[in-house]
Amino acid sequence: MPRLGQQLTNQTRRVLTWVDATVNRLYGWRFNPLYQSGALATALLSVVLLTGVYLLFFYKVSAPYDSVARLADQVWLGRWVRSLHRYASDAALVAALFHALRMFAQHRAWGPRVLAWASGLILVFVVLVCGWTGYVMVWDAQGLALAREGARFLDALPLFSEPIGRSFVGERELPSAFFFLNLFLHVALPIGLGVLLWIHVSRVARPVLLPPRRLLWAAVGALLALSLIWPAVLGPEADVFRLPQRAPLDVFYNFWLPLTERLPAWTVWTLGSAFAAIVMLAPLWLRPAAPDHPPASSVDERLCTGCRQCYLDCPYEAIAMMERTDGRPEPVAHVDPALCVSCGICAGSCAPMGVGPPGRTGRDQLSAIRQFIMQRRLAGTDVVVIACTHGAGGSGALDGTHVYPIDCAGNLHTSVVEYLLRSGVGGVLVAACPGRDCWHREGPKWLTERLYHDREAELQPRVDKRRVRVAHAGAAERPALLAALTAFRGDLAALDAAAGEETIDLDFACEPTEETAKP
Amino acid sequence: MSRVFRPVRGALLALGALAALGALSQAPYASTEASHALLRLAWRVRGTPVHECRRLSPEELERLPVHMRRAEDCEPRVLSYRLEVRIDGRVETEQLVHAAGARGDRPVYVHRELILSPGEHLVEIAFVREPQHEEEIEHEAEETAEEESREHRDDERQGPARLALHARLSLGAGEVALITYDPEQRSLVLRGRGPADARP
Repeated sequence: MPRLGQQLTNQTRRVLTWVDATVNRLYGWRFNPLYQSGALATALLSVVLLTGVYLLFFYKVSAPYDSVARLADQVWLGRWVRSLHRYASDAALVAALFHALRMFAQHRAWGPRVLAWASGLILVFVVLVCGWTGYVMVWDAQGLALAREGARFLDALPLFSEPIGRSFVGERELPSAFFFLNLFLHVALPIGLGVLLWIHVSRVARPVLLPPRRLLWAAVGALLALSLIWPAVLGPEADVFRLPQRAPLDVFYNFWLPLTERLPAWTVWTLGSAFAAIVMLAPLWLRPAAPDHPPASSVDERLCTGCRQCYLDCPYEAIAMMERTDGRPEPVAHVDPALCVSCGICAGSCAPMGVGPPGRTGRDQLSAIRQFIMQRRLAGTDVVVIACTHGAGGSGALDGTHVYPIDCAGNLHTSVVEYLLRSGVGGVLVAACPGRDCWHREGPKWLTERLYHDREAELQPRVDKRRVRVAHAGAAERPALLAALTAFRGDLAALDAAAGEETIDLDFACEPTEETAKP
Repeated sequence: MSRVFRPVRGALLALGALAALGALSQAPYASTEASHALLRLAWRVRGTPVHECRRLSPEELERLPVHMRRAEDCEPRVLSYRLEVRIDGRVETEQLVHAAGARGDRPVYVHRELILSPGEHLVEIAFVREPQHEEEIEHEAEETAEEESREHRDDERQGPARLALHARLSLGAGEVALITYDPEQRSLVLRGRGPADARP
């Protein structure tokens, strides 16, 4: 990976984790909207769609500005529905960009994920174009400026027999056919968005398209409140014989307008294309060199029992069940290396330890933990922290505990936890990333299911689960992890004390002494 | 203490984010030229097509397939126009305007915008078709009234040979004046704000 690119992604990630940690402190990781940015974007676009249907009933292509002005005058419904349409569009765009930034910073944009990256960027571009048509629909000063700039860019291309910019010079009245075409685009593009969204999530299992219900309603409620308190302003009507003076501009969608006004159209095309190409290809340039690519999982056919658990747990649908070659009746798992991101979640799901990336299968983990124990003198009061390298425990020693690093909490095989406890350690704390911040989507979710809810490969009932705990903390949340560790140690101490009390003869201990027997 | 204030800080953060969303959603915007006036030139004239032919040499004919051999190779094209704009006597634009289209066979379009300081200005525009033949160049200076009227008849089928406008404009800040071609009057006309006095 080029040094500059590495620094760029590291710095981006550092800022992102700091912001995440700040928001986590206020809302908790389960309701951190930054972790749910992709799902929030989809949910808010649905709000845009619903409000847009209402607005469509009142829009007239023959009198665009007047019809929008009438809507803005409807104090009870039209005004806030229009404002909600606007604010939800803005928030959806911000959420989508945040989502893209996270994927970039976490190296989740190349290899099998390149389709999601490319389709995601195209989605953002289509959303921007959709916003462009929406603002032109209003036909206020901003709409006219957008229409004129758009026409200027298109006229620079040898596409149209007649320059379309002439439509906006005042030579003749603008035909309503223009507004009809614009309206058609504004309605048709969201259909394209649906197709793109389907492509965007086509390589992930169980795509999350909606945030947790409480967060969703909180976001919609907040935008609704904003719409009621501060309704979107309608600018002055478009006038081709007047230059815009203090018209309202939506910076989220039309940030480029003040920048491009003074530039020749070809310069805008060149700069825009270069920017788009850089953003599209950046993850490919910044990915590790080919020999450092994490290897895909493989299946040991002799060990595979055909239970389908790895197939069910894989977050990227990289595993298929196929007919086996050794004549046994049950199917065998097969990993498609083109889809596998080497998360190792399959290794954690396989009870017979027959699948996983090389060096990270259940068997490999058991031999590694044996080495780990042999190299240390572990006492009965010690806590071993099994830490995901992407989370808070990934940066080394933690308050004198023994830290055993893993690539993803979902990769951890429960036998490792059992082995540690059987070896005599006091407790095992698994430091996982916050649920929706997992670099491999579902690692913490499957880990919790396997440890506490009997999902294959489950932690065996013979293991004392009170001595196992999962803590969720992002990379910038070491204090939170330390607090969880301290609390866990306290609980373990109480447990040990209680265990000691079992040996006490209660009759003897509670027998009144001379002092206590005094009235 | 920190636990007590956490919901308050959370609410403040949400309020801040919403306020930023509302403010950036309708930030005040003015055109970069809003303090100036604008003179817009926009018109379309039908082009005058000409065929420029040359005789092919025997070698060139030899290289062509038999069914494509013609004695003359003719390239159709539309004559260009020379546009000259003077503002207050100073030349602002002087350029050749070619016919539109990848092959230059579409009408001739003019679309220019000139930034002016607010106030009164004298605008002079000349839009002259390039000469069709060498003879036309020689006789251009000796154009007779009869030739002029023939030209006007041609204008209806082809583009006008010459368009001109002298106008005095008075424009305020942010105002736009448009000069366009009126095919009925067959002359340039002034529209929009500030047209004070115009004559072709």
